[in-house]
Amino acid sequence: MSDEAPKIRQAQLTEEEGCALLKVRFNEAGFKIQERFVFEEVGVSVELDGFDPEARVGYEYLTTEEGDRIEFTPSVVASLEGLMEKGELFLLMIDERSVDAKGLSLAAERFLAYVKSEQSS
Amino acid sequence: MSRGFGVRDWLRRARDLLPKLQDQSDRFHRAQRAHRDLAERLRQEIPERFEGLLLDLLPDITAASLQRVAKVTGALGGADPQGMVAERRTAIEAEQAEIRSDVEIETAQQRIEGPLEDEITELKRSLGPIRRFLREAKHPRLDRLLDCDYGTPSYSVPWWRLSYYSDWKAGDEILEATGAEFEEFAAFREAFAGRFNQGVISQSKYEARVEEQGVLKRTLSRYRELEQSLTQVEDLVLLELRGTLRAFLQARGEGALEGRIDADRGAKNMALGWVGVGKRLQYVQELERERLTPFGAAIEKSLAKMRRKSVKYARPKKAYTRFSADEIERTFVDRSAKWDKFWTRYDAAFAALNDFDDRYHYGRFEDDFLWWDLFCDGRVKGRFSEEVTEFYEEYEEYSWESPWDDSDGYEWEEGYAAAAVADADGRDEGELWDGS
Repeated sequence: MSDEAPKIRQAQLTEEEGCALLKVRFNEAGFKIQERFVFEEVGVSVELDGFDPEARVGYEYLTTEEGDRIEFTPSVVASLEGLMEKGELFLLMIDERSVDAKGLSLAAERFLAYVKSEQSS
Repeated sequence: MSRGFGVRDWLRRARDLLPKLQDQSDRFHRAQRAHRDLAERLRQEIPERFEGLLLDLLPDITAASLQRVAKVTGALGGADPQGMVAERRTAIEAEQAEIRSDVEIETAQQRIEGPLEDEITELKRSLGPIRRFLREAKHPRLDRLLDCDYGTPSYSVPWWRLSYYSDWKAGDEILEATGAEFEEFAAFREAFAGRFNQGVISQSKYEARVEEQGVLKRTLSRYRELEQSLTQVEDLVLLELRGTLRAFLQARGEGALEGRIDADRGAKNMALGWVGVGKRLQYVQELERERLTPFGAAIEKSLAKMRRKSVKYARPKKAYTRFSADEIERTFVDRSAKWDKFWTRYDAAFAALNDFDDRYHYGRFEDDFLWWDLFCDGRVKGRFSEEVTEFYEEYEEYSWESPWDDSDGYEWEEGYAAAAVADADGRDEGELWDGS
């Protein structure tokens, strides 16, 4: 069997497909992802694509096919990143338009491994 | 009034006539092929004879040869071949001197094959691994990784962004593609920058040396061409003068030779050969256009019409068609005698042109000479040619006198005698091939 990835894995994902894939990978890692979770902290109120409020782990598409998400202004992103720098929030931010299944899956795997190590330390 | 013939009579006569028409058609096509073969042969012969005449008139550039050309043709009277030779020689030597001022000819070949070739080989060899490395490192994200300082302490993309992981993945892929030569991307970055610069420098050096070698080769080749030309200056001037003579004779035709050339029998014979072949070709083309083609067209038309009507009257619904004696007579009139007469005349005219041997030297350039009569020895009327017809009208008292006697061994075909008989019946040739 060829080592080359099937073509389907190299195809670019839509935001909807990307969110579905991430939900599966995050749930496999033991998180309980809620879709379109309304996050309201540190003066920020945004709807996250997927989030486990108990573990404070989730994911968010900053960039969509149509362009950057309006509510994720630089100051909102800076507030969220401030929480992540302190280890109080773990949000995988999808900041690239061109995303394939293989790349996104690998990124999720590495991100989740990092989160686990952070949370256990 | 009763109509006396039925369809069976009509079809029986058609069955008799069709093979005769077919025979005529076949004969026409055979004649047409022979005609065109002859025309092609003559067409090829004209330039050969013309070049032969030029070679005869101007075999070299001596003063005697040029005087002869001027006397016989009126061309090249003011030509100064020795001056032309000197002028060409000076121009060649000037170009050689200019080349020598740029290139040391004596050592150029040694430089091309020695140091330059060695340097090119070495640069090509050193470029090989660099090109391979750059090819292996090629990745859609490479420029980004280099720009955002990936692999260095300055890299600032945070770990929670997808781009961080995309950079990580691309970096791994590049390291893998370059054959695991580097463990860390930082080492790759350093090597890449060095080898890229080295590649650009070596490539530009390589291109410069190849260009230099090419220029040197072309210059040396040109210098040797000039050396060769110096040994052939006289030949080149001869070709140039012959070209001038060629253009002169082509522009003026046989008129340039009339009168002047008579004293030079050898040149005159060659010139008559050239002009005579042209005349022969002219008559061949006129004979086809004015006689053979119209006859063939009429035969083909009759044949097609007879076939079409044969099919029509063979149909059951035409079984009771009746024809008058007059209709039958008009449709199936016996044209064999007319056809035979056409072929007798045509064959005689064609044979005169086809069989004429190399006796062009009996020709003349004067207006009161008719080439057609030379080709047929005055035995066939050439009224198919407008030129011949006009000649007969202009010279009413003219009669052909054979310039040779039987002791020349020239034997005429029997066809000429038959043609002479055909002419003697007083009928106009034209009516023989009007297709009626």
